[in-house]
Amino acid sequence: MNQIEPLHSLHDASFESEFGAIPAIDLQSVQVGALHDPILQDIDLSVRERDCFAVIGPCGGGKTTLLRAILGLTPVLSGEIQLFGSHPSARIRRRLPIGYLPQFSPIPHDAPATVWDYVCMGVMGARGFFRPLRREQSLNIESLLSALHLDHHLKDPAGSLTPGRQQRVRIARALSAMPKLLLMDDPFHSMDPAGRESVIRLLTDLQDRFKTTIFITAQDGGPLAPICRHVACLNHSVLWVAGRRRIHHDVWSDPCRNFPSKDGDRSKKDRSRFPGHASKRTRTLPNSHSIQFWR
Amino acid sequence: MDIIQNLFSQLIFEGNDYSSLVCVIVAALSCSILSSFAAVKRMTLAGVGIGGAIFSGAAAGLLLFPTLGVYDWPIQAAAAAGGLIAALLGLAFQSNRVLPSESAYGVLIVSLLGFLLIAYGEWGARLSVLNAYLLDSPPALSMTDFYLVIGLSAAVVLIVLLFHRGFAALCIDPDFARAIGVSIRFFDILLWLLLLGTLLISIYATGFLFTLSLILFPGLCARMMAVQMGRIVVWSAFLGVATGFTAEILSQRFFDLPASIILIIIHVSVFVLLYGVNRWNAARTMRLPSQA
Repeated sequence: MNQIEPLHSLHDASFESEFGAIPAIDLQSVQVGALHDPILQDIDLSVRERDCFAVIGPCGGGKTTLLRAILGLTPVLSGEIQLFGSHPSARIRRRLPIGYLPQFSPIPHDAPATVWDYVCMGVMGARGFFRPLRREQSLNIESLLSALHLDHHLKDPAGSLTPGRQQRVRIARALSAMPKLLLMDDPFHSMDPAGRESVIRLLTDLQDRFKTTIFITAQDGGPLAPICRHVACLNHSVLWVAGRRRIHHDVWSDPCRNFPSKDGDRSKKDRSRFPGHASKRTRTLPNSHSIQFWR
Repeated sequence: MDIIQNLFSQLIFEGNDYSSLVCVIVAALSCSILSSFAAVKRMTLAGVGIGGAIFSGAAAGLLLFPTLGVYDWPIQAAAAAGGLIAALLGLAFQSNRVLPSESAYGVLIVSLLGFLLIAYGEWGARLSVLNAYLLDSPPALSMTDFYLVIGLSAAVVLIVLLFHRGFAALCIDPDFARAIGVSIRFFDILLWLLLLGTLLISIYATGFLFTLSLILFPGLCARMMAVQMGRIVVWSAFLGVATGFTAEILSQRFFDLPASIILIIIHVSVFVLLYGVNRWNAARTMRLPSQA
């Protein structure tokens, strides 16, 4: 029962037929940050094709760094990152295509783009520099903006919108290329419940129609519960990975409460509060962090 | 109609130096297009810094080769070297994590100005040939130079037109563009090289102050007139060519002043006018909800 099992072996035949055999994102012993003070260490994660994978964890735990490392925006100290079996070079990222929602920061008020221009940037990698926007791309963007209730703001300067609307514009930009891989950093930041619902609907629809692999990071995992099938908790290293149905509802909002921090160890009392602790497999990694896997 | 046509042909063509007029238009076009990207990317000061370094390079060249004229190739090579060093410094300053890039460009400009002042103070008499380089176009361009200026300016305009989407991505959200696989480093270096090339050609053909004004003002004015990157570029090009052409005509036909001085006066007037209109519009927009 307590046998150590890597994450890959948890994916049985039925799992592979549902999610595809190739890992969309594969991280092996990834270390990011300064040599003596790494932000992320010994990250081993595998996200299957067509999966919707959430990474939740406390502020400053390295979620954004992880996302940026996957995209090649932050250099990796050691370890290997692969997207669909290849090194994530600029050419691969352009060809996939990739959708990316960066961490929220206000669009500068003097950004030289209207809402339409801003969203069209999302398909730039897919269409290249010389080709004009194709008709279906244009229609897709129109329907996205309509679904996110932005169709009345097409000609407004992107920087003049409210933070909530700006976040919707960024989400539209991330989805505009109908990406094969979508990476989102805290997508529900500054959004009202209605906005969250429309985004969740869009993501579900995108996965159904385009078999998109979705990788989302968030501090509060609650709003992600309806769409994510697998969840990992990250606090400088991966603390646990689990299937959605095995997670107690308290864990979504405070995933690390009952788990060891980067430098600490948890007490026996804490272990007893671990949701579903008794039936889980536990292993000790070389760096002495505990890890739990569920499906 | 004939009267207007006659007046127009007399005003422009009679007794004017065609080559300098064409050079002004072509240089103004390439300068003002790049001015729009420099304004949006907040690197206008870096453009001024590169211009100053080109001028300083020419001054250093004259000190090394006192017998040569300012338009001889060794002096121009020294000017290009000065500009290249400034462009490389600007690229390095841009990615520093301590100072905002504008402050770093400011340091670059002040140090170049210091060098200029020392050069003028110490060797002012010997560098008096630089006055023409500072204020105006060369007295006479050879046909080879004329075609070179036109060819290089056309190349700059063509490259900007070809890669305008990449440059726009660089100005709007470079981090996102890099994430989806756009080679932002390539566009960044290309923009700096284009800026350097354009400044070199333009200073050679139209003078230092004329070029500086074209790098500073058209982009900033266009930024106040439009929101979209494409429109900013078009407005900037239009303003640059129109004001450059007007300044050259006024200098040749009506005023006994260098074209660069007239251009700066025109640019400052247009800038102040647009800034005033913009502020008035902003104040009016703020008042509207309370009136409703």
